Amino acid sequence: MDKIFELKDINLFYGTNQAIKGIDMDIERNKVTAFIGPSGCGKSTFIRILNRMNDLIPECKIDGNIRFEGQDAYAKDYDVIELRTKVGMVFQKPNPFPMSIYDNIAYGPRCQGVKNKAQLDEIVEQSLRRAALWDEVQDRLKDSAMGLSGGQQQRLCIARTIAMEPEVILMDEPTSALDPIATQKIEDLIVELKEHYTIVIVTHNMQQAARISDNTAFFMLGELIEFGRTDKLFATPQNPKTEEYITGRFG
Amino acid sequence: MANIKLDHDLSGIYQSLGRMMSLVDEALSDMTMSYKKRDLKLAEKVMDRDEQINAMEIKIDHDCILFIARNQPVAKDLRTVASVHKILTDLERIGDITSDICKSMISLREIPFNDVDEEIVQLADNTRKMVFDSVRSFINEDLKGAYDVIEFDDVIDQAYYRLKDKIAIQMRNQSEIVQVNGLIAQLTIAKYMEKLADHAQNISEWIIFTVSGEYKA
Repeated sequence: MDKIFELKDINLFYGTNQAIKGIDMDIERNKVTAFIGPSGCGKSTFIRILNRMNDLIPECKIDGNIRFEGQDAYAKDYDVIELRTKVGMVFQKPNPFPMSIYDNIAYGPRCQGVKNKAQLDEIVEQSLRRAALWDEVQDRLKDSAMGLSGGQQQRLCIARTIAMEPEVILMDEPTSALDPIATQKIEDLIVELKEHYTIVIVTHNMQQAARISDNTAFFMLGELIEFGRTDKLFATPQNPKTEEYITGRFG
Repeated sequence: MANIKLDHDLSGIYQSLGRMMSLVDEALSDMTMSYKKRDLKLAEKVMDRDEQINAMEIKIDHDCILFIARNQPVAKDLRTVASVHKILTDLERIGDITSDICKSMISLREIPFNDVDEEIVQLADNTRKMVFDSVRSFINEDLKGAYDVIEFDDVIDQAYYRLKDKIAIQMRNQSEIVQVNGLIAQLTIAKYMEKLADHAQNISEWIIFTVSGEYKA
């Protein structure tokens, strides 16, 4: 297995409250890994460990060994900006910047010093194509991104992430605010994107996890209850707690 | 916590499966009785009632599809409904074979009950028990019951081969066409019984899949 992330004995505390309890997990490159579990189980906290988003939360303390592409991602001299460039993130609610579609995509590359117009045009087009949005917006790149539909805004956010040429795209409930058709487009997109990127997705929709992911992790009360091949986890889960949760008999 | 709607739908499927099992069991029982007594009227009734078994298969098949559409089952719920779907086919085939046995009885109407018939009735009683035990084990998720049925299939196979040899010997000594036709009917019926036992074995293998997720080769 080609591991892009290797996590060993991860513990995370918010003050005195332990949110993640001794989790070991390897994340496979160019695969879709889904995190499922009831609210408050630690899955969103865990996905944020992967690009150090929890660093921004005061009182948050993390220990354990987190290796991204073989490097200790929490080492003192590790460049967090570099990590977040390689490990992009898409959130539950689409959050385009209040600027044009073009500028949303070009924002990241410009911050990194790309000034050349032709080069930016190329990045914008490529990113929008990869996010399956180009055909819908190519004639109105200068229009405000705020005028796009929710589903289009979410694909724009994916395109904005892609523009940074990441290795990994983290998605925290990316379709929970979208209608079924927009959801299906994002799901189709995720399956296409894994050819180029590693995807980690938090979802409350178990059918979504079953449909699009290669590996699934089931979390409960900060513990990793079961982690393995998605087809196996949904057909023959090994842990009775997983069985209870995915068959709706939990609680 | 229970998944109330899913459990309610699943329990409906189990009840229908139980009813289908009762129809199949009644058919097997009447078939054996009509064989014993050379009662062709009863045999005809068994054939007529096969329609009910077929209708039940269609009803449960529909219920299973509706269950999947409504509940999108996973894990054991999915294995259960997939197994019911397979078991239905076995039960429907058992109904068809029981009818075929009844049809074959016509050739025996002028032949008195004999020692081969004794063994065929024994075979019928045993296969009926296997079919009943397989479905009962499925409904009760009884793995041991399932393995017992699978193991017992060898006993049925051996009994069939013994009976086949016996019929062959009797056939060699027989010159009357009515008697030869009777022996052919007995051989055919014995083979049908052996097929019934195979279907009971199939049902038992689906129990293992339902409970453990493993396919029995």
